[in-house]
Amino acid sequence: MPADATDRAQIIGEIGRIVTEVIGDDYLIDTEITASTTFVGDLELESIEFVSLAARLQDLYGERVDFVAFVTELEIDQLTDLTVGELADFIGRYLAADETPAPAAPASASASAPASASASASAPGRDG
Amino acid sequence: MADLEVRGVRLHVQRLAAPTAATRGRSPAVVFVHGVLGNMSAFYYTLANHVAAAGHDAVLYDLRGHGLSECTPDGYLMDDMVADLEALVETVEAGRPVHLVGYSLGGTIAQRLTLGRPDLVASLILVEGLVGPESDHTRELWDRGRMVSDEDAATKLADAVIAKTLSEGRRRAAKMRRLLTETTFHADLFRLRSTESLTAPSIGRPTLAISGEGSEFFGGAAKTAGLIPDCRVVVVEGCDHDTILSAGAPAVREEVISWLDDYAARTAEDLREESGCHASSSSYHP
Repeated sequence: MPADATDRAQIIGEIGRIVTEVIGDDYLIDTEITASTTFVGDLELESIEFVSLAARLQDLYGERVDFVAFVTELEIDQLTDLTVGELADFIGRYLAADETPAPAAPASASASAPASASASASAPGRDG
Repeated sequence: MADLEVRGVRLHVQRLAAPTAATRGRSPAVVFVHGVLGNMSAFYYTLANHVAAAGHDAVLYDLRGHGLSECTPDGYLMDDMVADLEALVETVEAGRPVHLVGYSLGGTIAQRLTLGRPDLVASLILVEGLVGPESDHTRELWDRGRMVSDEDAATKLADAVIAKTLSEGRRRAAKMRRLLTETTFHADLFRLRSTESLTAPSIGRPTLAISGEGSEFFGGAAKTAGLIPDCRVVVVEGCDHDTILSAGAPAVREEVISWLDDYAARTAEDLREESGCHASSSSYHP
């Protein structure tokens, strides 16, 4: 796994994987997920499915990403036009901020890792 | 949190935690109960995340057969849905009282739980959730529904609901049709004996009743609210039953968050007073 967790392509890949989980392979035939793909127009993601997508991303990235802030700042009409790239950029900004660590705290950095599922599994060793 | 088995049924549950440890857990969790034929997204985008951002834990779930919860073949009586909510609250909050927020018939479910298990409820917030029996509109709607509780009627209702929510997509449409035509949902819903059973005026918990100014249920709601001992009534302008959580959302947010903050402040004050009394009594009895 690449060390740089903020890599945009990697986040887009995670979003694509989770969208497939949420709506199922059958509905995604011939739909390539890129930064410019829209959730509603292209993927036909329903409002309840976006809730599930956000929750799964929250599980993946843990408290490093504030999805509550994302939704409260989102107007409903913005959701209609939201692209995969815009969501990836939002996540990326939080992850980048999270990776500006205090210089000498390698041991304590691992304390929060277990709650953040697989995505954070490689993080403690990198900064340590 | 995503799927939770409650009473043998898989329910889709989401908890939106308060953003910082400092605010988390300072007041009871807020549990949102959406209306029938809706799902948790009715609250998710317009209210629940804002409540979480204000420092209150928010718990949303899809009623059985709705949203991403399991579509059971039966079990859609009001008593079933109240029992689901009761079990959910006991599971996610380990029996601690919660604030209940109910929209439309979700408000009826919340009222029923408040009557049956007041120990589980800190306060009740009804968003277009007082479907008063005095309303001609309610009576007409209900009588019409009860008269046509056969398969044909369920199919027609499914067609109407799907046509109305077409923009929501084909997967939701398929789920709605399944719920209405392949389960006992339609028959169970209209088995409620009368419109009287939709309201519970003897609620013994602080209640915030928010109605849309243009709501068809408004007349009945106002009268019913007058029967609840401790009820604050708020009327939101420029919206009706269907649009109170879209057009009316900013006003609803303000009222609900203010209600929750006030409750938290009062609780904190009570705790301070309690500890103050305790300290002074110990000074009398050193």
